[in-house]
Amino acid sequence: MNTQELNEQLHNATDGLEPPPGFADTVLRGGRRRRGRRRMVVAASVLAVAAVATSATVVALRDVPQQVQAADARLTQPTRGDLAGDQAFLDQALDVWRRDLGYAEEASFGYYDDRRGDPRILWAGNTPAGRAAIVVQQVYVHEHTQAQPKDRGPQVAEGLVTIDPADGKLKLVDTAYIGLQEPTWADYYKFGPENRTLLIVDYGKPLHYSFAVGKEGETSTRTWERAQPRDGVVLVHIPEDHDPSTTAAFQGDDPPTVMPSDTQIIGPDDPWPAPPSVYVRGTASEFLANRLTDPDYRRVYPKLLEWGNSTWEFGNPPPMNDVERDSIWGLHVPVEVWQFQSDWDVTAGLSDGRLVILKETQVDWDTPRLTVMVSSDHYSTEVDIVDGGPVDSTTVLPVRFRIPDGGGWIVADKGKALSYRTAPDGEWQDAGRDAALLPDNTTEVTVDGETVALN
Amino acid sequence: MDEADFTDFVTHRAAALLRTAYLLCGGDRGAAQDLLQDVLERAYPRWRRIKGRPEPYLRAALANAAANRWRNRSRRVSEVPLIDEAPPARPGPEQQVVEEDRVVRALRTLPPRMRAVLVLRFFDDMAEAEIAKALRCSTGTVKSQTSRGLARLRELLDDDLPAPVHERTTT
Repeated sequence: MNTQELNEQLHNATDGLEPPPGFADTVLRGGRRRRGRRRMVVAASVLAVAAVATSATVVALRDVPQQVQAADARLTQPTRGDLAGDQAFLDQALDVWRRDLGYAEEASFGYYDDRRGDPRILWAGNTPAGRAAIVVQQVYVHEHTQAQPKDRGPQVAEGLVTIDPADGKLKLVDTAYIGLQEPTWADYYKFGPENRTLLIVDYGKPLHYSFAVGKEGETSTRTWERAQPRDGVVLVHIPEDHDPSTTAAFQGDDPPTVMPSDTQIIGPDDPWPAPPSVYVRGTASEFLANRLTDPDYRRVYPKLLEWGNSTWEFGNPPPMNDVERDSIWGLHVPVEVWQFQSDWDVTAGLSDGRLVILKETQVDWDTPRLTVMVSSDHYSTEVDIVDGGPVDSTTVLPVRFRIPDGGGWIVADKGKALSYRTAPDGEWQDAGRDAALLPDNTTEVTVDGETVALN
Repeated sequence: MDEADFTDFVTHRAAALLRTAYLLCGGDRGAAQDLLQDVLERAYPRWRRIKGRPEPYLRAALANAAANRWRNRSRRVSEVPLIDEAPPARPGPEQQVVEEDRVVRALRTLPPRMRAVLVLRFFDDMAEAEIAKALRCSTGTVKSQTSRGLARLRELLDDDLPAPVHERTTT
């Protein structure tokens, strides 16, 4: 067999392979979901508002004192619901909680690593989808975890244990995301066959639910129904002519008619950077599909420098806007590389005609690295992708990259004043603030007066 | 985001990409489908940023994702027997099917990056420089991986694959 025959055998071996029916729709749904998650990550890092990158969702600007107060209430309220006296079921639900919590998506971020005390049942009852229980437990979110800084400290984990219609077994089918809890959010769950059972937890405020998204001109709008709680929860069947994925709940007065997240459901594209108000929460089936089947295989959380959406340009780069720059970058840096990438970048047009774009990237749980695109000219006809090494956000001048073939140094430390010199006894030259393109023979840089040697 | 354009691309090109993914996953159809779905879903939010033909871009993404996927999960991948079935004595249609199956099985035993090089080179007909760019390595690495990969395949298949003839490069 020669290489031509190898080619033929490979083609023959794959002849007739087709994706399953509906594959394009599946991909489209997944893509939309990922875009939503990604935006939440962006929002968390750029706006320092919402927290975790997950499929589920919820809510608005955070009020920590109110949240702690609500958490305390959940831990002290007596169990309610028509199964509150069914100790066998309560014990079963608690066992499921202990078994499954480590598989929840938010476990990725370390929120459930340190569980304090015993879990308890907030509510237990019969629903149209079978027996169900809301379980809560005190947790402590440590600094070493991947949690957002604002979420660190004592928190309350909450989730729904009920029947998974796929196999009839009792499971943890959804959790209330700690990183997204807000005063106006309603703890609610969509579960059971086709996720058509809506359960909203009552904390004493007016409760509302909304099945559908309408449209007035270019604006997505909602109409809301006032809900009447019983035994601490509201149970609603989502009608067959409504999509559970668009059903939302709200606690408090005056639910918003316009929700930025709805534009993700029916378009147009891109509600950001409008501040989030209320998001539509994911369904139980979505939660189950995204469970961590191996708790050690945690989802990725970005650990990039929090430098926002900054662009520093040096030399003589071609005029281009953010979209054009991203297009050039995106064409040449494979998707896997920019699983996460910084919004900031440094762009340099060198005197020899080369174009350099530097970003910070992170693949999986790896340490973030500098990834640098060096093209032979401004039109990017020949491009090298260069690994610029790991980024240690704790060091002074975390970005130091020497451009190959004498192109100079790119250095950056946002907010800091920079100067440099090219010999040990040479004169210091001002290099401005934040970032700089320095001569290739630079030996030292000062960062707010602190000297750093380049080597 | 031109969603219609994205959907149209997936509808028409998913089969071709699935075949590449199938080989990158060493003949595991389920894994190939998951891999392709994963890469396409990741590409969706970036679709409008991809100028030019998206297919080479996605093939590169598939190869990288496959390599990382197997790297991350290697501890859970069970050993696969190399060649566990003797071929029929006489060539014929059945023999051909067995040979194709043997090639895919042999591919499966190769390290993921080496497998990616062979698939991109001999299935997708990509040039060495293109593969180097896709896998973010030098053309020298592509040459050596091709050479070693073919040698390994030859060993596994107990066949006489000739030594590869590399492209001429100016570097």
